[in-house]
Amino acid sequence: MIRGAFLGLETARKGLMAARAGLDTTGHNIANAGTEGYSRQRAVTSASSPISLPGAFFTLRPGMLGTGAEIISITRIRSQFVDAQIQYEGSASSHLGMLSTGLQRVEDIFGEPAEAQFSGLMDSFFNAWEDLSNDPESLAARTNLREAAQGLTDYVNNIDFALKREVEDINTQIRGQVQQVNTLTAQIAEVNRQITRSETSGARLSVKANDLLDKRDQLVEQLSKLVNVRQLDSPDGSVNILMDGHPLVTGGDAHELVLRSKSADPSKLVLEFKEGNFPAPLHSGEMGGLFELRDVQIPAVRDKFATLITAFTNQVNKTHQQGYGLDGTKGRNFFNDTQTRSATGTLFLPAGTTLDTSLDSLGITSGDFFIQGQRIEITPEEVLPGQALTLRGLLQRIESASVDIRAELNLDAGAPRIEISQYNPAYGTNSLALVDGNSNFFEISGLDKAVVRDLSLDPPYDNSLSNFRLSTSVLNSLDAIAATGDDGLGFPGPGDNRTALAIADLKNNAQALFGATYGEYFESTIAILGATAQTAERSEASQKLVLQQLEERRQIISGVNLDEEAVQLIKYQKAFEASARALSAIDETLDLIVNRMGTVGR
Amino acid sequence: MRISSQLITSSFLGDLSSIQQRLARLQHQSATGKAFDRPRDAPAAVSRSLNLQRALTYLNQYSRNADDGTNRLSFTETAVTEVQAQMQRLRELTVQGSNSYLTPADRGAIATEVNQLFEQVITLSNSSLRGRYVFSGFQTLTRSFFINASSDGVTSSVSYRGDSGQIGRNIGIQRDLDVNVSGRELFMEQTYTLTGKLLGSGALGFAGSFEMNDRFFSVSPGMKLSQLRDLINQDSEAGVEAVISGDNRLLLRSMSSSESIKLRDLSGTVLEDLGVLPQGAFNLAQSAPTLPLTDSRGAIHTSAALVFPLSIGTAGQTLVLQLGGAANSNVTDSKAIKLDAKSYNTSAELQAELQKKIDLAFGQEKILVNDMGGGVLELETFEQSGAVTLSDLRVGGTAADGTVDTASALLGFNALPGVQEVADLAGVDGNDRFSLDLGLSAYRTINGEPAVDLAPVMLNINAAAGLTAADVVADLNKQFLANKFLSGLVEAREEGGRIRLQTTRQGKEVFGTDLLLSNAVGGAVAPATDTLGALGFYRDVATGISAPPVPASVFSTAAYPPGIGAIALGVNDSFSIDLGPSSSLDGTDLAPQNIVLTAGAYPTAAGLAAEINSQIGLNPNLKNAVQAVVRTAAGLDYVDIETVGRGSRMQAADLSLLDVTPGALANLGLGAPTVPGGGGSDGQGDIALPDNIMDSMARIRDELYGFAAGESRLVALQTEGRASIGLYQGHKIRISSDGSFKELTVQRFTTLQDLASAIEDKLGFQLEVKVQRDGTIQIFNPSDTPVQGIKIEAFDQGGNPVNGFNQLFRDVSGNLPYRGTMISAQVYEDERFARLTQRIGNVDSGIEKILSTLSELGSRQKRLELTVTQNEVLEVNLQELQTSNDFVDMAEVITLMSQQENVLRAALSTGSRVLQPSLFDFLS
Repeated sequence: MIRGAFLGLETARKGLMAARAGLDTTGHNIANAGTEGYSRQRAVTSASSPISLPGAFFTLRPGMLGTGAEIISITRIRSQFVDAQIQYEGSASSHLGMLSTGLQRVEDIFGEPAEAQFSGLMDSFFNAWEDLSNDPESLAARTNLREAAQGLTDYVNNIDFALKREVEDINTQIRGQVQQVNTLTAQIAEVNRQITRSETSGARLSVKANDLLDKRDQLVEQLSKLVNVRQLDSPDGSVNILMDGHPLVTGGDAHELVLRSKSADPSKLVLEFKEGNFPAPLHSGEMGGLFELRDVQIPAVRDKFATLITAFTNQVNKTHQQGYGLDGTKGRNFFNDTQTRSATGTLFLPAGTTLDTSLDSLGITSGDFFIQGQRIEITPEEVLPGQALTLRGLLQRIESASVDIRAELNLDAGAPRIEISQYNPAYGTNSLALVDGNSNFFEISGLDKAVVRDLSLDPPYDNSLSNFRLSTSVLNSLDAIAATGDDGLGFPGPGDNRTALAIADLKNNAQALFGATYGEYFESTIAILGATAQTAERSEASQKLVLQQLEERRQIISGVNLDEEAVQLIKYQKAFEASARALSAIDETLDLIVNRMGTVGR
Repeated sequence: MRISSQLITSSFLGDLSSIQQRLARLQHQSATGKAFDRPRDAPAAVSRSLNLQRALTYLNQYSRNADDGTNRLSFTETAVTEVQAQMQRLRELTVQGSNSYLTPADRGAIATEVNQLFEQVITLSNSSLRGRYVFSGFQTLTRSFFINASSDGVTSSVSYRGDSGQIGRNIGIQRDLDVNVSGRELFMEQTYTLTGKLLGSGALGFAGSFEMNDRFFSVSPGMKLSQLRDLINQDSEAGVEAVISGDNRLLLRSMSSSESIKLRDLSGTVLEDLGVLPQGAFNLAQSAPTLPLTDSRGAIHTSAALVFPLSIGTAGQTLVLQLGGAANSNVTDSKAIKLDAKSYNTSAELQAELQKKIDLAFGQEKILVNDMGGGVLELETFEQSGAVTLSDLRVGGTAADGTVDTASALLGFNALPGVQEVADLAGVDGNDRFSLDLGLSAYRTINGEPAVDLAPVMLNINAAAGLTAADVVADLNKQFLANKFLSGLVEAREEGGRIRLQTTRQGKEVFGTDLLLSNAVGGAVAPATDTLGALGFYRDVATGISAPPVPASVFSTAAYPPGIGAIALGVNDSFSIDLGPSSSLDGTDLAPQNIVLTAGAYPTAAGLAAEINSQIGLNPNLKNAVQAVVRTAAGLDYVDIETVGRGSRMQAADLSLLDVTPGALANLGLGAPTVPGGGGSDGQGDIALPDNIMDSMARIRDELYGFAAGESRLVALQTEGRASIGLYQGHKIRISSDGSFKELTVQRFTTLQDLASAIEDKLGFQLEVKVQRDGTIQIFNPSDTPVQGIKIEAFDQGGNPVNGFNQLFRDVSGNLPYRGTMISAQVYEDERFARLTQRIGNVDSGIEKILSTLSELGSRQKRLELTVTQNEVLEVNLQELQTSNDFVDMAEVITLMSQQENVLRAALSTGSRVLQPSLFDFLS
C-alpha cells in the first residue's frame, strides 16, 4: 500500500488545529480568571486513527502510521461531588446566617444589658413600691409608682409591637425570597432546555455546553442558599432539582412555590407548592432560617416573656387585691385584667372517687409538678397509706398556688374527673401552663398535658403582652393604688403599708415562676436567647469555614491558575510552531519531489 | 496541590477580614470597656450582670428604706425624750403638790405648771414628720390625740384617734422592722378597760342590743364574740377598742385617756351576758350634771323662716298691727306699718326697719321686734297694765285709717297674737303633761361625737296652789336634769313671769325643729288640759291663729299589732309597780305603787305607754324613777316598763310588777321583769381604771386645781378636819331668801355643783354662784338689787338640822348687798391628797414605759444602722463582682490589640508580596 503523498500535510494541519484549540481554550481561561463560578476548561486532544501500513518486507510486522491529533472536546474541570457539598453546606450556612442576624434583631429588641430596659424597669417598679411603703400617704410616691409601672407596661407593649413587626418583616422577606426561588427555578429550567438542545443537536456526544453548565451550576448554588435543594443529573444533560424529594425543577419545567395563609393567625403564612397544595418540606437555607425564626425562635422567647408577664400581672394583682386604696376601696387590680379565654383539661378518674379519696388509693406518687409556673409538691409522707393527703387537699393546694386556677372534681359526665381550668382572664389565651414534674399526678389524673401544653404554645401571638397595662382604676386615680393591709375591719388607715411591702417583696419570691424569682426567670430568658443566638452565630462561623474550604477545594480543582495558563500558552504556542515547521518540512519535501525531481540531466 | 489565582486573593481577603473583625471587636471593647453588648456575646455573663445589677438596685433601695426608717425612729426618739423630761418635771411637781401644807395659791401655781406640761405632752404626742403623725399607727393623717376640753377651757382628757398599726420597712430580703411606736401603747397604756366574763368561741347564743358611748350595737344569737369585736372596732365613733383575750373574754378599752365607757342595755341583757357591765360602770359613766339650772323667757316667732334677701315688691307693703289690752294700757290701736319697696338682705336689716316704723307708729317700748336668727323674727309686747293676754297683739286685717294689710303673709306674721304671759297658771290642774322633742342639732356634741336625734320626752307639771312661772321653770329644769337624755341639752327660764324653753346649744346651726313641744306623747290620748296653752306656749288651732314654734303632735299611724294584744280593757285593770332601793329616787325600798288603767281602747302602744306614763307622772314616788316605753321589735310594738336609773347595783327586786286586778299584767303582756342593764351580781366585769401618762397628768392637775370639787358628791364631803359633814341621802337642804325657800333633796349623786345651781336658782339668776377649786361656794351679787335673808341649812328626814353641813354655810347668811360676796367654808372630798400621792406611782410607771420605749427605739435604730453598714460592704462587693463581670481587662484588651495589629501588618506585607507576581510578569 502506498501512503498518500499529502498525509503528512494533513497530519501537520491537525497539529496546528489542536494547538490553536489549546491556545483558544487557554485564552478563554485567562480571560475568565476572575469570573465567578467559572471552571477552567481544557481542550482534550487525542491522536487520530492511524493507518495500517503493510510492509514490503514480510519479515517485518505491518506498522501503524499516525495521522496526527484531533480535538475530542473542550471539557470543564469540575467536581460534581464538591458542587453538591457546596450546595448542601451553603444551604446550612445561609440558614444559620439568617437565624443569627434575626436573633440579633430580637436581642436588640430586648436591648439587654442596658439601663432602662425590662430588667431595670422591673427593678424601678419594685423600688417604687418600696418608696410607697416608706410613705404610703404620699401622692408623690404614688405618682412615681404609677410612672414606673407605666414605664414597664409601655416597654412590654413596645416589645410586643417590635416582635410583631419583626414577624411582619420576616414575612416580607419570605415573600421576596419565594419570588426569588421561583425566578431561579424558572431560569434553571430554561438553562436545562438550552443545554439539552445544544448537547443533543451536535453530531458528537462530546459536545459540552460548558458555559451554560457553569451558569446553571451558579443558579443552583444561588437557589441552595435560599432553600434546601438537591441536584439530580439526568442523561440528557439537564438536571432535576429536588427539595427533600419533591421536584422544584424537572428538566425544562419549574414548579412554583407559593405562600398561603392556612391558620387563623394571618401572620402565619405557609410555604406550599403551587400545584398540588402540599407543603414544601423546607428546613434549610435562608428561607428555612426565616421560618425557624418566625415559627420557633421568636415564639419561644415571646412565650417565655409572656409567661413571665402573665405570672407577674397575676401575682401583683392578687396581692394588690388584698389591700385598700386611699379611697377606702378594696379588691381592685393594679394591672389590666381584661382577657377572656379560659382553658380546661379533663380526664376520667376511677369510679367512686370523691374529694375525700386519698392520693395513695389513687396511686398518685410523691414528687412535684408545675401549674402556671407554681411548683406543687406532694411529700412522701403525704402518700403514705393511712395519713395520705386527700384529693381535696391537693386540689386546694393547686388552687392556692395560683390566683387564676380552679381545680375541682367534676362529675358532670357521670364519672369523676379532675378539671383544672384557668378562669382569671389576665393570662390571655394561651395561659394554662401544666408542666410535668416527677410526680405521676398528670398520668393518674389523666390530665392530658400535651393538649394543655399546646394551649400554652399554639397561638403564640396572644394578647398578654399587648394588654399588659395599668387597670383603669389605677390609671384614673392614684388613690386606687392599694398600700394597706386588711384586718377585715375596713380601711385600716393611710399609714398602713403592708400591701406595699408585700408587693415590693414579690421580687424576692423564690417560687414566683418555675422555682425562680421574676428577675431570675427573665435572666434565664435572656440567657437562653443569648445562648441560642451565640450558637447560631458560632455554627454559622464554622459552617462558613466549611464552605470556604469547600470553595477552596473547588478553586483548587476548577480555578484558573495564571501561571499554569502561561505555561499552557507556551506549550500550545510551541506546538503550533512545531506543527507549522512540520508542515513546511513536508512542503519542502513535496517541493523537492515536484520541482526538483526528474530534473537530473536537464 | 493546585492553587488557583482566585484562591490566593480570596483566602487572603478572608484572613484579612477575620483579623480586622477581631481588631474591631477589641477596639470596641477598649472604647466601651464593656465585655459584652448583646446577650450572645456572653449569655451567662449577661444574665449574671443583670442579676448583679438587680441585687445592687435592691440593695440601694433597702439602704434608702433603712435611712427613711432611721429618720422616723430618731424623730420619734426626740419626741419621746422630750416627753420623758416633762414627766420627770411632773413627778417633782406632784411630790411638791401633795404636801398638804401648801396654800391654795401655791397649789394653783403648781397646777398651772402641770397643765402646761400636760399641754406640752399633748403637743408632743401629736408630733408629725412631714405631715404624718408618728404616734397614730396606720392613721398617719389623723391627729393622734384629740383634745376633750372641759367647760373651763382646759383639757379634760384626750382621745386616741390612731390605731395599733405597726408600720414596717423592708430592710433586706425577708427582713423587716417596725419604725413606729403606737401612741396608744406609749401614752395610753391603760385606759378605762372592762373585762367581760369567760365565753366560748362559738356562737354567743344570746341576743339583744345595747348602747355604748351613744352608739348602737345589736347582738344576734348566731353571732360570735369575734364578730361582735369586729362590729365594735368598725365603729370608730364609739371610741372603744374591743379585744378578745386569750381565754375568750371581751375586753373593752376606752380610746380616751380618762373617760369611762358609757354602756346601756337597750333590749335584752347583753351587757350582763357579756359580763361587761360592772359594778358602778354606769354610775361612772353618768357624771352628775353641772348645768345652770334655770333661766327664763318666752317667745313667738314668724311662722316660717324668711328667706333673705327678701324683696318687699315694687309698690311697698303694709303690715297692720293691732295692739290692745294690757299690752297697750287697755287702748286698742290698729296701725298700718308701711314698708317701702326695697329688698332686705338680712333679717337684722328688716328687724331694724320694722322696729323703727313700729316705734314711730305705737311709740317706744310697746312692741319689740326681735331677730331670732335663722330668718325668724319675733314680735313681742311689753306689759303696760297688768297681764297681757293672747289677743292683745294681732297682725293683719284693716287698720284704723282703713289701710289693708298686705305684708303679714309675706313676713310670716299671719295674724299673730301677742306673747302670752303666764301670770295666771290656773289652767294647770296637776294632771298636765307635754312632750318635748329635741332635734339633732340641739344635741351638744364634744369633739366629733355624733349628734343624736332624741325621742320625745314626757314632762309633767305638778299641780299646786299659787303655781308661778318660776315654780314651773324650776320643776321643768329638775325634770331635765333627772332625765339623762335631756340633761344639759335643754333648759327652762323664767323671765318676767314668762317661761322660756331653750336648748343650751345655740347658734346658727340650731333650727326651730330642734325644740318641738306637743301636748302629749303619741297624741292618741287627748290632753287632759291644754297644758301648753295654759303655759302660754300653745294657741288654739281652731281660731286659725298660727302657732309657729309649736308643731302639731306626732301621731303614730302604725297599726297596733297583737304584740300585747290590741288592748281593749273591759274593766279597770290595775297593777302596781314596786321599786327597790337602787331604782327609787331616795334610795329606799318603796311600797308598791298602783297604776290604774281605765277601761277603754288603747289603739296604739304609744297611747298605752302615754297613759301609764301619765299615771307614773302623777305619783311622786314613781315619777322620774320608772317609765313606760314603746319598743318595736319585728314590726310589733311592745310597751315596756323600765326603771330610769340603771347600774349593776340594781337587782331584779328593784322593779317588780304585781297584779292588782287579777290578770292585768297578762292582759298587758307584761311578764316577769328583767333587770334593765344591770348585772345580777356585783363586780361581774373587771374594771381597769385609766393608768396612763395623759390621764395621770390631767388628774394630777385637776386634783391640784380642785377642778374635781364641783363633782364631789355631797354625801362624801368632809370638813377641814376630815370629819364627815353628816349629810346623807334623803336629807333636804333648804335655801331661803327674800322670805321664801326652796328645798333640794340630797340624792346619791347630788354634787356640790348641783347645790350651787340650786342656790342660784333660788336666789335669782342675776347672781353668780360657783364652786371654787378649793370646794368653797362663792355667791356674788353683781346687780343693784340686794338679796335679803339668805339662809342655807340642811335637815335630816326627821326635820333635825344637820350641824356639820350647816357649819359650812354659817357665813352664807343674811343680806347680800350690791357687789356683795358670800363664801362657804372649805370642804374636802375624802382622800383628795392621798390620791395625789398615789398618782406618783402612776407617773413612775409612765416614766418606766417611756424609758423602755426609748431603749426599744434605740435598739431599732442600731439595727438599721447595722443594716446600712452591712449594705455598704455588700454594695462594694457586688460592685467589684459586677466590674469583673461586665468590664473587660483593659491591659488584656490592649495586649491583644497590639498582637492583632502585628498580625495584620504581617498579613498585609505578606499579601503584598504574594499577590503581586505572576509568570506573565516574567514573560518577555
